[in-house]
Amino acid sequence: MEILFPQILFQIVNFGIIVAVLYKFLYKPILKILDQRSQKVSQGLQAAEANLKAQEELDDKVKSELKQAQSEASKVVKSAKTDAEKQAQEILAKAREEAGTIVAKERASMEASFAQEKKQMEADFAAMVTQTTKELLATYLTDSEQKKIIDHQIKDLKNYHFQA
Amino acid sequence: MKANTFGSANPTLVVESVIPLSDAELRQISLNLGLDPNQLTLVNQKTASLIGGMRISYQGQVLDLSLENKLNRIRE
Repeated sequence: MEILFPQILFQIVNFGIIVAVLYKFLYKPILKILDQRSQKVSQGLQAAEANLKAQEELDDKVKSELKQAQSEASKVVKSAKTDAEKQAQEILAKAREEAGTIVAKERASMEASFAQEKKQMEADFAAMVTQTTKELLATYLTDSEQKKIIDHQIKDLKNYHFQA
Repeated sequence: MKANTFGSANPTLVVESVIPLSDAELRQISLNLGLDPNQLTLVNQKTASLIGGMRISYQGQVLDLSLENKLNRIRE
């Protein structure tokens, strides 16, 4: 086999030219595209991290505000419950007082009514007994018995004195 | 009605009763009450509604000894 140096040299030059052309028109644009791509990815990652951080901060803020709102709501509920209990107790106490007053008033009224009725019944009974006794005395008291009564009363008059 | 009149200026002692009373009884009534019958006008008045006893009036004062009065007082 014969080695031809000029041909080898030619091949080397050709290869060099091809490498130069490829480097110039293919390798550099691809490298540039890859750099841009890498830069975009890097920017995207940074943006994603920033977004993630912002999201976390937002979440923390939301959680904090939610916690504060829950605390305030709890306070409001507790206060409202306390107020409601206090108001309920006041209403209950007032109702009891009014009920007591009404019961006392009704009891007093009933007692007064009962006493009045009792008094009236006693008066009616006394009137009935008196009237019956009067009628019996008027019917059955004879003149001699009347005379005896009067004689007895005349003797007892010494116990009485008119003012002169 | 009986009356013992010793002058119109004398005060009157009125005794009401169902049965009529004698002058002696009227005088005894005035004496027992500590009053002088000679200085009184004694009047006996029959009151049919007066049951059991007598009612004596003297110068606006009334002494009711009737059973009716006692019954009324019991009723009150």
